Amino acid sequence: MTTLMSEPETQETSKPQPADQTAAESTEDKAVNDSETLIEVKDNFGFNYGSTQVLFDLNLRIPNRKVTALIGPSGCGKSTLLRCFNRMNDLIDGISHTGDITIGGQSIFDPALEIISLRKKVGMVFQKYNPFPKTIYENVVFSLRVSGRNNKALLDETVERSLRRSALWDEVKDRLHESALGLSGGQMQRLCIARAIANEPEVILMDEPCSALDPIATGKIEELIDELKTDYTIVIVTHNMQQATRVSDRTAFFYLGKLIEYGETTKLFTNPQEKRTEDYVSGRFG
Amino acid sequence: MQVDQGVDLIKGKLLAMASLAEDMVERSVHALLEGDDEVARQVRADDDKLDAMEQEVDELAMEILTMGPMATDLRAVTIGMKISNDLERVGDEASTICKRIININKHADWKVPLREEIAAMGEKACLLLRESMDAYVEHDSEKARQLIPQDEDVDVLNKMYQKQLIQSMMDKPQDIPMLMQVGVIVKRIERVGDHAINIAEDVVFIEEAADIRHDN
Repeated sequence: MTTLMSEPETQETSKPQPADQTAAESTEDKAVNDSETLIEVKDNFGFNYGSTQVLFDLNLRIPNRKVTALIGPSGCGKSTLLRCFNRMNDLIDGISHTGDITIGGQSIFDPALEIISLRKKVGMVFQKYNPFPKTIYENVVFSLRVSGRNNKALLDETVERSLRRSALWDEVKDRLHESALGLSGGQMQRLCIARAIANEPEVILMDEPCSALDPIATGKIEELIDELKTDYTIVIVTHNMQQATRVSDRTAFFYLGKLIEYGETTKLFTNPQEKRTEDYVSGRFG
Repeated sequence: MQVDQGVDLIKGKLLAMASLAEDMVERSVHALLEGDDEVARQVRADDDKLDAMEQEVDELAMEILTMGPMATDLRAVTIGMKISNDLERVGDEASTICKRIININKHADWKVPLREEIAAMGEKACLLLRESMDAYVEHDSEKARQLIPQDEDVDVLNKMYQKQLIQSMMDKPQDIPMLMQVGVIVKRIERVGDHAINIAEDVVFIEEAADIRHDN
């Protein structure tokens, strides 16, 4: 079984000015160095749905144990890219790609790599919380049971660890064997995060995790993201610019399938280098 | 109100503040040259207007900040608050100058030393203020950068005149109270120059996101 190894965490370096991307060249981010990088989109990565290309010439380094936000107008390809990281797009017929994506230096397209293993190491939380119609306990341990791990002590430890880590334990510890569907929306989303954490992933992908939640629940998820990044690399797609500034360390702006600008979140939102970025974050389009 | 409308509103208010602040300094210079108490009192009364305008700018800025401005808009709003503060302080300087003029004028037979020189210094400071606001309106950071070294001229004049006033105090100790009033006037004019340069530095930050405040 091929495993994904994570890179050690190091200090961030200073950031050069990213260049605009054209069809003939890529926007190469040189600010995240080799030792900081966990996920690398490389070799002018491109992605197609059938004959339609939707991602163009991407080169991007996502640092280990940081939060990276992917922003851009609807249809820009950010969710498509997110789903590439755990190869969720493989579930769609007719997809193809060029270039490569590595996690911990290993290509996720390596034929020797088991997809199940990849998806354990790269967990995902979706826009609409989707707990299974099972108990809270069974939701968290689902993947362990599927992989044949049924030791009660292990399951109990996993449930408590995961629910504590997703800031849900105190709210549900007395009703672990009740249906997960009885939880509030925010609690269900935190349960989904706990379910992902139970696999001890390296990466957590979040596709607009708060868009179906009220402001208070959103605040709790954002607080949780801030805590989780000490242990996990998080990539989040969001339409909410303020959320991106609140939770992320780095932000990548996409437009029409291309990476336009990528850098430290504060700099991108206070002093974007590209006019399209400035116009988007200022609300002038998108 | 949208963010860009709010930013335009702030700009309009700052221009109105700058116009009043500059006018107050010019009138205080006139009051000094002409020994005109009435003009000096009007300038002091106008300081309240400038204070109120600063509050309006701050309230508007807070409202815009709740909308989550980004990039240039964010810089324009936050720095707009700083510019309004500098312009309000210019008004304070003019008001203080006029207070001292009124005090000096109580001794009608006392001749203000360096009167014309100090008035010229005041005009120079006014020019710096006007040009810094021009740079703001024109989004011209290069123009703003070129203004910054010109404050040195006003600083040099301040030091020179303060030295001369101190010498006068030594020569005529009985004039010390009046000479100190003049010294305050010179210092306040020098501060007008400082505020103008603060605004120039703020323009550079808005346009370039470069913080040059403490560059040599």
